[in-house]
Amino acid sequence: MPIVAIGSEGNVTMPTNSSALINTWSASISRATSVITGFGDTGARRLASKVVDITGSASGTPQYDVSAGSAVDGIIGNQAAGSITLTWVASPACTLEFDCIMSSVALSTSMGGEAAVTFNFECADENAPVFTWEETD
Amino acid sequence: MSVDLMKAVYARLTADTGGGTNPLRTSVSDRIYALEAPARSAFPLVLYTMDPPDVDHFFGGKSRQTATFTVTIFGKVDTGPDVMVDIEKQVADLLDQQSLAVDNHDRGFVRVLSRGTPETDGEVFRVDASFEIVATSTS
Repeated sequence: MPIVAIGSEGNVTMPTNSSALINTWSASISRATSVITGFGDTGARRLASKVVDITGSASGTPQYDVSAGSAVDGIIGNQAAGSITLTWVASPACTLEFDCIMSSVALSTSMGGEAAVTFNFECADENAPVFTWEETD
Repeated sequence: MSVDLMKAVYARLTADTGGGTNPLRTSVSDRIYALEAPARSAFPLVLYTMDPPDVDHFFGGKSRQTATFTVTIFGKVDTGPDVMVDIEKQVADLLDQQSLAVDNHDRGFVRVLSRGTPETDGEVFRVDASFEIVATSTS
């Protein structure tokens, strides 16, 4: 029986040293396409690249006083790629895992009682993303 | 969850800040109660009530509770408004911008939302001050 995913079943495993409690993520998978329409065609032909790119973000609240480091360790002085796993449902597993780098980290805090962090990440290497999706009926 | 928050507020209102007591406890002779006071209590006294917390969920099961609570000071009219204001300040001094120990949570951070002013309520003065406590569960 098909089961409808509920957002609160999700999760995200961030690369090392991205210390935050996270409650939302988003990602976009894209690839280049080329128009190869020829003379005489009456519709547009396109060819899709095999190379996919992923960009996305994860947001939540920074944590401190933890051994994992700070919320900016992923971007300050750190060029290394790290594995990120975006989870729709933990069990049965519906996940997307790939290597990423942090392109930006947005931080904010206010006397109104809000502290927030947003990590923006991008696909980092030639390895194909690993997409796991429960398909047993 | 809200019980942990209410216990933390009570613990702070009755905390020992020196000499086995605190200025608020001294002013109200330890008459600090949750929800309602015992019958025929003397005045002045302090009551506090808490609204149901709003809950923000994080991935992995932790959640952040944000609750508004109101501290009300009751006193006889002949107590005079100055004394009531002084007691309200003692409440604010105890709670505002304080980080409280809360069972099963990282801590409970309190900030004042509105300072109270004396008003008459039948034959007594009352002062209502409201606060917000924010606490994130540890599991």
